[in-house]
Amino acid sequence: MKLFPRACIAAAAALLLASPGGARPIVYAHSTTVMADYSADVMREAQISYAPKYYWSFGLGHVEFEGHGAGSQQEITFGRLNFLAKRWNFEAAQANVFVWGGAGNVRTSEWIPEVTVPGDPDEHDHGGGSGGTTVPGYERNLSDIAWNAGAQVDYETRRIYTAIRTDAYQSSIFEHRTDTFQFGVAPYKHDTNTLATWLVASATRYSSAQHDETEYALLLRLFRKRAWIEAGATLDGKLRARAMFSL
Amino acid sequence: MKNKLLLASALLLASLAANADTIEMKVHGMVCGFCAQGIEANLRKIAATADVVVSLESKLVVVQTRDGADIADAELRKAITDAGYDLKTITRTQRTMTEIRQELVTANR
Repeated sequence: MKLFPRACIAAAAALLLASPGGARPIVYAHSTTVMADYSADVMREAQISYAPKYYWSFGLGHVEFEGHGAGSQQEITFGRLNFLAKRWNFEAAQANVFVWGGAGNVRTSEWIPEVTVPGDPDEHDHGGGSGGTTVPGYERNLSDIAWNAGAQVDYETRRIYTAIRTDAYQSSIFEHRTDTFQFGVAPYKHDTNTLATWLVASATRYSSAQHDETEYALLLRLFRKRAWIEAGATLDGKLRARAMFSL
Repeated sequence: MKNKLLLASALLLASLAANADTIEMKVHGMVCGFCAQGIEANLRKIAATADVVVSLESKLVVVQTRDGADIADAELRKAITDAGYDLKTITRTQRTMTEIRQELVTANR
């Protein structure tokens, strides 16, 4: 029962942030897209982008990764360019190759616990006392330039969706890579004036010094007109949510 | 005489096409309603456009023009390709949007 209100709050937060979709970094020309992505205990991200043409967009984003251990967190604020490198329009299907890159600032924070440094036995040991020096715990904050690059290949019909995506951040103090595979099926064919419903299975691998784990999730994706949301749970019961709105 | 009749027929057909108020386009790549919004947005920016219908099921984009107005094929093609889709055919008809919408509803059942 405890999970439910927490999940609702997280979902609402993701929606307020404007949530994204596994969807695409570019929706259509002259559109402003707001996106958000949330994975409980792992990451949360928000982005806003504008597409002057259907094949490129630019935007700003902010992503936070939860580290292992109390007080450990990494956050990156970045600018990004997205390109549609290739599109195939078939009669009843579409396939795309997207690439993107950008730069920003990464800040890491980490709690360094209290440590006791043993003293010099000749100087301080008078028959029982340790004589060590205690250094109190403190939060260590670092900051640096971070580079970002990624790519996505997707294929979809009105009944099947599949996408593979990789996204990496690199800096001198932090490296992180996220690889995602999604496969979705639609129980019915939607049209422009009807609600689209998709059931999506997702596998995401988070690789960094702090994370090296694969997250499996089952998601319900809904979209109609300018709103797109996706929410579900990971196999260990944690909330996974994404949303995207075009303005 | 035969040539004159052919010429008259051709002129009549051209005249009908020029005055046609409904333009039907077959478009490839339309599988996602969220992304296909770009097509409608581009077409509605054209001054001569009165109404637009996009059907994923029929792979059809229909434009109703304002009275007495027409949209050049090149402008239609640009609107579709600028949205990221492939335009296959353009057909000018006298069908009303009501008829087309009814037909699309039937096709979606």
